[in-house]
Amino acid sequence: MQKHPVDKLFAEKFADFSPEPSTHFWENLETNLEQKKHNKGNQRYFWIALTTTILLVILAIVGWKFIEKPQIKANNNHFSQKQNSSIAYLQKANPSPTNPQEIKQVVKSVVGIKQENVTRPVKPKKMHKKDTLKEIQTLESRNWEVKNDKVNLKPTENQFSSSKDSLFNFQPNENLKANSAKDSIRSNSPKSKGTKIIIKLPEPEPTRESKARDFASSRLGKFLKNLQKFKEGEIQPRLNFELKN
Amino acid sequence: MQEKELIKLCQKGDRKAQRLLYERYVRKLLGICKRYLTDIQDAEDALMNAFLKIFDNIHHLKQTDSLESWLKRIVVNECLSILRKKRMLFVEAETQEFLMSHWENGEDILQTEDLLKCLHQLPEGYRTVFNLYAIEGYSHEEIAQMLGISEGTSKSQLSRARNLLQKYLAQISLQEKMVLQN
Repeated sequence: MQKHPVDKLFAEKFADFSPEPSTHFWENLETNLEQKKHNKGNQRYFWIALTTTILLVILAIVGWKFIEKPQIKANNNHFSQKQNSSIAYLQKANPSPTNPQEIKQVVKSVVGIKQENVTRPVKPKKMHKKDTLKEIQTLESRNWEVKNDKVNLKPTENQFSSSKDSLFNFQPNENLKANSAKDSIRSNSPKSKGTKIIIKLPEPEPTRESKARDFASSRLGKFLKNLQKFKEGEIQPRLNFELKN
Repeated sequence: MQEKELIKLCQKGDRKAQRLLYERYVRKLLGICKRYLTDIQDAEDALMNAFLKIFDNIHHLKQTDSLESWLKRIVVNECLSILRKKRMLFVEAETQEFLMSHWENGEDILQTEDLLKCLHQLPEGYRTVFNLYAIEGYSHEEIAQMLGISEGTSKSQLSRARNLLQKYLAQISLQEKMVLQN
């Protein structure tokens, strides 16, 4: 196809068109190139640092999960084996233990504690003389302590008697499992010696009797009691002032 | 230094080779910028950006034979991006038809600087399409894609650019003749 004369003229004339650039063009270009190179280098370091950090975080998370899981699993297996063996043993020896001491021994063997290692550093609360045996047992069983792989379990007599039948179908509590697993991990590490885990059960609600007792021992209660006695004529009022005419 | 060797050194980031490449092509590439952009500052900005892109992307260049066309393409794209930033308009103004007798083909009295003046008098849309079609050799389809216009618009812009250029050329050649006669 023949080219338009105007197109042809411009194409021919501009084929060798080469004007001179400004004098400092190359210097400016070189400065820009250096700056770009510097920025690129910084950017590269930034990306390397960022990638490394992300990788380390991911590795730490994955590693922690992989280390944590098998130990818990192993501990759980150990737990269930022990449980099964002790149940089997008990079933053989004494199919229905009635003595609370025996039941205590069974629970301890299931959890995996030795009698001599059991410690009880938590002091029991001071109780009122009139408190019933049931209240004392409830308060005492509130504090379950785990110290240096030693678990102090103090279930009450009533609890034993009520759970007597269901003991052979004993299913360890999930929290207890987790605690024992943690304990086993801690016992493996040298720094874990002397750590304490105290599991606190919720405070029992005050009974009507204890409320009444508390009120009677308070100042207002004493005052009302004295007032009643005064009304009945049992005591005379003591006046600390003299009336003046 | 051979072009292949020069490219290899530039790909390694050798500053001397880059300087040599710059020296070889800077005038030609500035000529392209000046055809598209009327302002000299804009033309130099486009050339600066183009050289930065060239040295940044020269490792992508596989066929070393096509270096010049690759450089030209980068420079043209840079000029177009500057025009886009300035919102180049494709005006559809009616132009009077000029007879060829006003400007005789084959007259060699016109200088490149005169032709550049003619080009700069054109509206941006006309000038861009004329540059791309008549000088760079792109087809209307390619131009339509590059500028985001229809092929019809590209053709009409070219036609109007040619008419206007003929008018300007006739005026310039008349002036030149008068100067020569005097």
